[in-house]
Parts: sequence; C-alpha cells; structure tokens
Amino acid sequence: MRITTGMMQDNYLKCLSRNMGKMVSLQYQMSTGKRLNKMSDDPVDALSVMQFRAKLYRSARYKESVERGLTWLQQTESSVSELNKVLVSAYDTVIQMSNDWLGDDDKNAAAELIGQLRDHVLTIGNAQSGTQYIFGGYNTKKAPFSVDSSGKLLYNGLDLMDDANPALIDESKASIEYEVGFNLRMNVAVNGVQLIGMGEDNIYAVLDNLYNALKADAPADELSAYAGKLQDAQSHVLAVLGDIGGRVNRLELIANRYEEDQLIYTDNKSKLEDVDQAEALMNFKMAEYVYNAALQVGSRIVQPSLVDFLK
Amino acid sequence: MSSLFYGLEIARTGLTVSQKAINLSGHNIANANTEGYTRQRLVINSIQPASVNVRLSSISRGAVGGGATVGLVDQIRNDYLDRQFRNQNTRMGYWQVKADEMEYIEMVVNELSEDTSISSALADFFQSLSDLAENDPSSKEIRTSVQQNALKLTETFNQYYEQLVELQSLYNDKMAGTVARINTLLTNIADNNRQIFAYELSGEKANELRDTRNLMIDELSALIDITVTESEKGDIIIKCGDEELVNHLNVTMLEAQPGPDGFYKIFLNGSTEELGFSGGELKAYQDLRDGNSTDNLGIPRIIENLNTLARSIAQQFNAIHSTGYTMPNGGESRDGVNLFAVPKAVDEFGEEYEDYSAITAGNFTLSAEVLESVFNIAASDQQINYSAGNTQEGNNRIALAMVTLASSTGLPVVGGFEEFLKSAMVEVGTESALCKNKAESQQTIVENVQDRRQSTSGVSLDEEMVQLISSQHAYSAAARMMTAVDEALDVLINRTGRVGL
Repeated sequence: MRITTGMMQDNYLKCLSRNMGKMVSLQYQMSTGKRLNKMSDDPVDALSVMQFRAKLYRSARYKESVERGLTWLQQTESSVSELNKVLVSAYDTVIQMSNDWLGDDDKNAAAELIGQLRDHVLTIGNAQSGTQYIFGGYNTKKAPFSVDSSGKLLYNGLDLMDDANPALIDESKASIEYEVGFNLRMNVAVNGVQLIGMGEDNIYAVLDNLYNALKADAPADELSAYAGKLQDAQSHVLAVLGDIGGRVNRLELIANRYEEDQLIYTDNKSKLEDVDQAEALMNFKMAEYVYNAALQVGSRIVQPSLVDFLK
Repeated sequence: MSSLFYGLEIARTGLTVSQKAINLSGHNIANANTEGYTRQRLVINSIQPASVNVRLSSISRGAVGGGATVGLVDQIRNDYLDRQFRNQNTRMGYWQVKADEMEYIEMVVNELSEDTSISSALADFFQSLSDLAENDPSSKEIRTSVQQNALKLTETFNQYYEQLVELQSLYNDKMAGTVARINTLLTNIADNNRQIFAYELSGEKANELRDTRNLMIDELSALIDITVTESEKGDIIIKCGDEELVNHLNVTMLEAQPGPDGFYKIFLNGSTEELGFSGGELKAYQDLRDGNSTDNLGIPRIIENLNTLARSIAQQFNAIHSTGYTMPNGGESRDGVNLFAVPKAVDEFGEEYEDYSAITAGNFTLSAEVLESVFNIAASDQQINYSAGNTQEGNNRIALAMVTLASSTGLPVVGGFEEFLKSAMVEVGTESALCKNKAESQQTIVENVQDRRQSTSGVSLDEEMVQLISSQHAYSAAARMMTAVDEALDVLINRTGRVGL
C-alpha cells in the first residue's frame, strides 16, 4: 500500500480525536456521577433502572400507606383499650355492689360512677385522629355517636338498639380500606357498631341499664346478671383488641419488608446507574495515558520527511 | 545523418520536460493538503527519429530519437474506490443524521430524568391519590395536590407532544433544505461538466475541474443515494434509482411540494410521481418525520405511543371517577363527572358521545369540572350529604380504586401504564443506540475507503521530493548535454579547417 503524508496526518488526527472522545465521555460520567445519562447509553440497563425506579416509587407509596394505617390503628387501639378499662372498673363496681347489705348511699355513689363511665363510652366512641372521627366508618367529619333527647344512643343517626335495621347492619360491616401492597388492601378501621355492639346488649345500653338499676336499688342477683353481661362485653372488646393487634403486627411486618425492598432496589439501581468512581478514574487515567502516548508518537511521525534530510 | 544542431534540440526537449516535471512536483506539493486534490503525473513520450521511412533512406539507419515530449498531465484516480466511497458515504449520511437526531429526541423524552418525566409525574399523581384515599378524602389541600399533580401529568404529556411536533416540522423543513442543497449541487455539477467538456476539447485533461466535480459528487452522495456512470465520451450521468438527475449538460431538479398536511413530498421536476429514494440525509429526515413502526421509528411512532397512553389513562380513570360522587360545594354531591377531559363527537344518529379516540398527548388535560373546583374530584362511591347521619365524607372507595390502577395489569395498554411507558421509551433508546452504532461503524468504513483513496490519489511528500531531485538531475544533465553540443560546435566552427592558419 502506498502511504501518503495526508493519510498519516488523517489517521493521526482520527486517533487523537477518538482518544479525546473517550476522555470526554469518561469525564462526563465522572462529573455527573451517572453511568447512564440517556436511554441509549445502555438500553437494557436503562430499562432495569426504570423498573427499579418504578418499584421504588411504588414501595415508597405503599410504605406511606402502611404508616398511615398504623397511625390509624394505634389510635384505635388506645381508644379500645380505654374502653376495656371502663369495662373493668364497671365490672369491679358491679361485683362490689352485688352485696345486699350495701346501702342506698353506696349504690347511689356507684350509680354516679357507672353514669360517668357510660358517658365516657360516648367520648371514646367519638375519638378523633387529627380531625377525623375514627369509629364512624366513612362518617369521619361528624361525631358518629350522639344521645337523643330521650337518652337513646344514636350511631350515625341510627338507633343502636334496633339490630334488625338493615341500615344499621350495613353500618356494622363498614370498613376503611388502604392499599398497602400490590393488590393488597387492608381494613384499618373498627366501626362504632363493632366497638359498642348493637341491640339490647350493646355496651352503652348495658351501662345505662346498670345505672338505672343501681339508682332503683335493684337486688343483688339482678346486679350480678350485669356482671355476666359486662364480662361478655369485655371479652368482645378484647377480641377487637386482639384483631387490631393482629392487623398492627401484619402492617409492621409489611413495613419492614418495604424497608428492605427499598434498600435492595436502591442498591441495584445505583449499581446499574451510578459510576464506580474508582473504576472511572482508572479508565480515565488509562485514556489519558494513551492520549499522551499518541501525542508523543505524533510528534515523531508528523515532523520529519525526506525534506529534512536533503541539505 | 542528423546535424549537430539536432543534439541541441534534443537537449532542449530534455530541459523543457524536466522543467515541467519540476513544476508539476511543485504543484503536487503545493496541493498536498488541498481537499479533493488528486495527485498528477506527467505522461512523457519519447520522440521518434525525424525520418520514419527506413527503407528509402540508408542514411537514417541508426537514427536517434528526438528527445522527449510531454504527452499529458494525468491524474491518478481509482473509479472503483470512488464508487465505493459514494455508496458508503450515502449510508453514513443517513445514519449520522439519524444518530444525531435520535439522540436529541431522546433528550426531549428523557424518562431517565427524575425531574421532568411522565413516569415521575405519574408516580406523584398516584402518590397524591393515595394521600386522598388514606389521609382525608374530604380535605381541600389534598384534593388540590391531586389536581395539581394530575395537571403536572397532563402538562408533561403536552410538553413532550409539543416538542416532538416541533421537531417533526423541523425535519420537514430540513427536507426542503436538503432538496435545495441537492439542486445547487446538481446545477454546479452540470456547469462543471460544460467547463470540462470545453477544456478537454483541446485534448488536455481538465484535472482541477474534475477534482472539483468529484468533490461535489462526494458531497451529493451524502445527501441522497446516487449512482454515477461515465460514458465513453467522458459524459457523466448521475442517477437516483432509475431516474436521471444529471446527464452531461442536462439537469433534472428535485422539487419539494407541501402536501395538505404541510409535509413535503419530493418530485422530479415535471414528474407527477414521487421520487423514490432510499438513502442519504434526505431519507434520514424523511424517516424521522414519517416513521411510524417499530422497524422505522420516527416521531409519529413516539407520538402515537404517547397518545395511546394518554387515551388509556383518561379512559381508565374516567370509567372509575365518573361512578363516584363529588363533594357538595354549593350544590349537590353528584356522580358522572369525568376526571380527564374527553372531546365530544356526534355519531351517525346525531347524538353526542364522548370520543376517546380524539384524545392526544397534545390535548390531554383535566375536565372543566375538576379544573374549576377541586371538590369535583370524586373520592366516594356514595353521595355525600352533610345533613345525613353518615355524611360519607371519609368514603375513599373511588379514590382507592384509582390508586389501584397503578398496579393494574389488565389494561388495554399492555401491562399497565408504567410498563407501556417503559417499553415505549426503551424502543426510542434502543433505536438511538442502534443508530449510533451504525453511524460509528459506517464512519469506520468510510474512513477506510477514504484511506485507500488517499493511498492512490494523495500526495506523498517523500515521493515528490524524489521526483523533484530526479527532475533536477535530469535538468542539469540536459543542460550539460547542451554544453557538450555547444563545445562540439565550437570545435567544428572555430577550430576546424584552420590547418596552417
């Protein structure tokens, strides 16, 4: 092959600019810290990065849902355990009062106590998380429990005694669901009917009747019947507490999983997307070395020709 | 027997030829770095002895030739390499434009960016819907954030669309511009043909004009696919496909005529049929402007993917949202409200219906109701009534159903919104990477052919120096020859026949 001066110069320039190009791209990677700056840098890896990013977005969203669910459930839990305390002290009072030798004054004082516990049940039922009532089902902005002029307890405007009312039965099934995972919804609420119960033996009615019975100085055997009812109510409330505890456990497990997932996704994404600075620096040094070598060789190639030796 | 003066004449031709050779070396050296310059060489012929008919003249036996003469200044070129160069250059023109433009398109629809991408806007939108469902479905602040994030989503779509449409019309303009460049080159080539023809009538070779013409043809080959043939007479014929663009002195120009959509169609002057071309920058711009399939990916394909996604988002969300109830804000809580706007159309019976196919990434936006008031976002599947026992203000069923769309895979767009978006964007990235690879490998091929061309036609300074020295020596020798003859004549004239003088 005939080699001409132009060829040598062209090739030399091409190689130089190729080396420069390599250095520029390494330098860009190093200064942005990213190996992938656009899809075409590596479409396959870029796809994975997008996938990991979508998973990160999603698990962050789920994690937030889980945390909100936990807040809601923990508020619920503390209210329900308060209700449990109410029942415990009501039960203690009834046991004390189930003695015929106690006088009117004692029973009156006990009646006052029971009356206050009864009203406290109302306060518990109208507990709020932030500005929202937690036991009202979807009725979050208006106090769900109220007592009408005749002393009847109303839940969302419905008489709790009337357990055949289809509207009340619907309310008893109300839930508030959160999306806490992929295709995973969870009820985070306990509604008022589940809390208090409905029909004759709802907690409020039991306490109200007990109050009236104490006022009326009922005999001991009648009062001890209330002890049984209160025990039933307590075991109901404990069941609710157990259920809440189960849900909290589950949510906490899920939250842990999301935290682990996030670590894994972030790590994987970074492996694909971010520059290994040490490696990049080494590659850059290599490119720089090659570039310098090319420059040195160039100064030898380009300069001399036959002209230099024809003196 | 020739005279002594004949020797002088021979020496003179030697001087002339050497002088020309020196000049030509000078010319080559001077043009060592001229673009498109082809090295030239002297074609030197020796001169026959003066008398030709040997049989008639016994004295012409042993006749010596009459020296040397310059036959032609020729250029050293390889037509095969030229043809190869132009073929490869057409491909390089195509891939380089595509690679550069695809890279730009990629930056326009950069889904890898975390700040302004549809995927991040979509994630934010779902996040705010999840806030609405699980924080407080009746909160005005959260509703506002849902509205704003939905707007951010639609605006990102709009922005992509606008930029893509802008690029599309840019490519359209570039086509017209390329056609203008092609026409200028064609005219200049035909002009050049005329000059070469006139010059070469004398029998000389128009080397410099030919270099210019070759350079123009090289340039033309990057713009459009051409085949170049040279007839025996030396006339150049340039064809695109089967159509003649230049035939010696005649030019058929290209014409870019805008169609009803404003997009240019390329015709040959005087023809009603579109010109079929398959390469070069012109084809690259056309493919970018019109490409609407996976194997010919251009702007329309990307826009269509975005349209499909926007349409699907509107359809899926509206289907759920319109079954939900708004917040009573001055009026009654009502259902049947769309989240995203749907253009109305009239069917064959004159009845108005919602035409989802009319939604594009460009007109994708929120419905007028939701834009007007955030309370028109439906989160509840029950009517909200402040005076009822259960106001349903905390009802999050509809909001939750919309959140679930994020993970839904049974959508008309394959594999859910995010999946679809990902595959659409990876398509762009893959195409861009492919174009970049093609452009790079094509560049290497072109450089290789260029090298070989340089090897044949380029000026080698060393070689020219050798030429120069040998010409210089030849010149000195011819001059010495002249002195020798001169001395011989001196002997003959001044010192012969002087016996006894």
